[in-house]
Amino acid sequence: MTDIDIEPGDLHGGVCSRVDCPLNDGGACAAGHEDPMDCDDYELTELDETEAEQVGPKPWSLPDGEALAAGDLEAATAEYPVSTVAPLGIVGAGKTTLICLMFDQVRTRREPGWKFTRSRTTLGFARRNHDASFNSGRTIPTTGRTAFAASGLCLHLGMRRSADDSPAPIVFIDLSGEHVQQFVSGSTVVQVNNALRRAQHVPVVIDGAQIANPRTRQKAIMQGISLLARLKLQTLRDGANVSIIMTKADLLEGIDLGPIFDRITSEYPIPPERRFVTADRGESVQRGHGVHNLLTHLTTLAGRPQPVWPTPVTPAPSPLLARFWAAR
Amino acid sequence: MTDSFRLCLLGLPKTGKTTYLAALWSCLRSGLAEDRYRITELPGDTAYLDAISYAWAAGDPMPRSSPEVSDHIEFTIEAPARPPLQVVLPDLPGEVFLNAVRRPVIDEGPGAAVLSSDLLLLFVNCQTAKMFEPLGDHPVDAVETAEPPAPANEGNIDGPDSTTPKPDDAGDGPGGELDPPAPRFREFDIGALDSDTLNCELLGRLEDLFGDETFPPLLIVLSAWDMYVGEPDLIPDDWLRDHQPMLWQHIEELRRTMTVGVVGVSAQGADYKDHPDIVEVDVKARSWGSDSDGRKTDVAGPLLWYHDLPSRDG
Repeated sequence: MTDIDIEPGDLHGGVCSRVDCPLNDGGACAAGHEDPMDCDDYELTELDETEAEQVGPKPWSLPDGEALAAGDLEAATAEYPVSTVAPLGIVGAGKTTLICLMFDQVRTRREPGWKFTRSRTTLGFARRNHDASFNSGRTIPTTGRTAFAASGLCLHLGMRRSADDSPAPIVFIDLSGEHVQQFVSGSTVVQVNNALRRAQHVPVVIDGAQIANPRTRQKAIMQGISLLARLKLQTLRDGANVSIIMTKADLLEGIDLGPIFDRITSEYPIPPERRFVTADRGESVQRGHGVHNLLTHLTTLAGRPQPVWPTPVTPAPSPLLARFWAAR
Repeated sequence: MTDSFRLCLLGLPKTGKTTYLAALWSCLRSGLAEDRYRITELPGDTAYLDAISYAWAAGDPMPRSSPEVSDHIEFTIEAPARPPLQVVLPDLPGEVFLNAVRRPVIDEGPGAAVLSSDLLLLFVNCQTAKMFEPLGDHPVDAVETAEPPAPANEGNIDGPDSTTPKPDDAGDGPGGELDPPAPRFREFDIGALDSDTLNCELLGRLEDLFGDETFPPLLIVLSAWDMYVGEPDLIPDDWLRDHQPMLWQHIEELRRTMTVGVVGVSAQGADYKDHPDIVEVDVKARSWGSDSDGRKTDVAGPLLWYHDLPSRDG
């Protein structure tokens, strides 16, 4: 080591996770790496608070980028009118997956109709969709359940509409499926009630996987009917839009969704323009299928003019969706 | 009259900040007549700069930056028909910026260095940069035969390392007498996120650090730009748009209110593994850059970008 090399244990250095590695005592890397950063066992030092206090002046705190309580996010997003969206659905319906799908489609420029600007909760999104990313080492994308403690926290997607360059940010309220089920059963759930009081958009999320399976389809339809029936009794924000979203479109090929939507919405009519089918997996349909139309709807606010889209920005409708609309 | 010009090199670990500084120092000190810039006043202590420039000249790994020795570097440069420019730049370790996202704090010294800068250079390594890649993009059978990417900031530029979990670790291979190995999934780790997400988040946090103060001009420096030497029509901004779309869209938003540029640099001149002979090339000719229009510059291109900003010409 030269005198300009960082010493093990220094403020910005690291340690080797192998207890027998001489590097931890000022020696060379046991695996033979000249630069310890190249070694798989080398980890950057995570300072604890007491150590940090001993080293010098207290470091400056920065925002943590995680999901935020509604009040904390309001100040950070006050610049433009924000569309607040509270997806409702039972456990496993795909609420959080849908939220992350919209974020990912916009940030990776797969939705040319939208321009990402900034998210105040980037790490909140990243934490939620980690298991659906290639980086997780998984083969099947999954999304963990939203914990009770995290239920009702908000995720911010800052974006503009490409058509007219107008800001169209969205704040998603991520609710636990268990909380939604308690709400459907008639319990008073503070997180759900608060979300419904704030939300301009309340999409009801139906698990497409359950619809795809004939043995679970009727149960999923009943759950949708029950959810909408409970919503009917709930005081929503003035002008709130209730919509319905069928997730996992890649599993729904060959199924006539029109009658299923009609059944679910039989007692709480939802017009066709508020019915959506989305896909977060690219099998028979493209990943991100349906997201453009959904974003267009969810960014609609009373008093905010709708842009005239200059060119078609969505891929050609899939055979699945064509059949769905043909059946309408 | 000497303008004092404070420069701050930002970037995750292993993005080429120190290599760039070494190449810049070597280039400025070589003092050939055609230089646009040359050193006119040496700093009192050049030990750190000499150490990194010797390592660079020999093609050796860069010594790691340390706050003890590299937090204050100052020298004066001169360009024809320009007032001398006193360049002040700390060579901050990339861990400072990774911790700004991960912990999330920034120590007072580096924080003050960022806040007092006239120009921020954010380094992105073209060779190791990654963007978010959803599993849902891939048919399952394709994923099962592919290897997950190495995280951008683990410093492994050669691809997945030996401990990277592989999907086939899940044990669905040919049967044997032993139990199949348990799946080894990678837990969520902020430090292992893709560089697109991390850099965008880092930039957002630094914006918050400035608060109501004016954010200085920002230059995204794409290091290892020699990877694209065979694509003369590729401009750095287009590369950033296609490979780091989240960061690019964020800077597009910033461009509404501030000056942001994107340039490329090849401080090494070439990949040492593919072109070991590069260390035999004269230090003056080895490193180079690409300005925002794709025109070749010397390694001082980022300084030129700042020097030529219309606001500076007044």
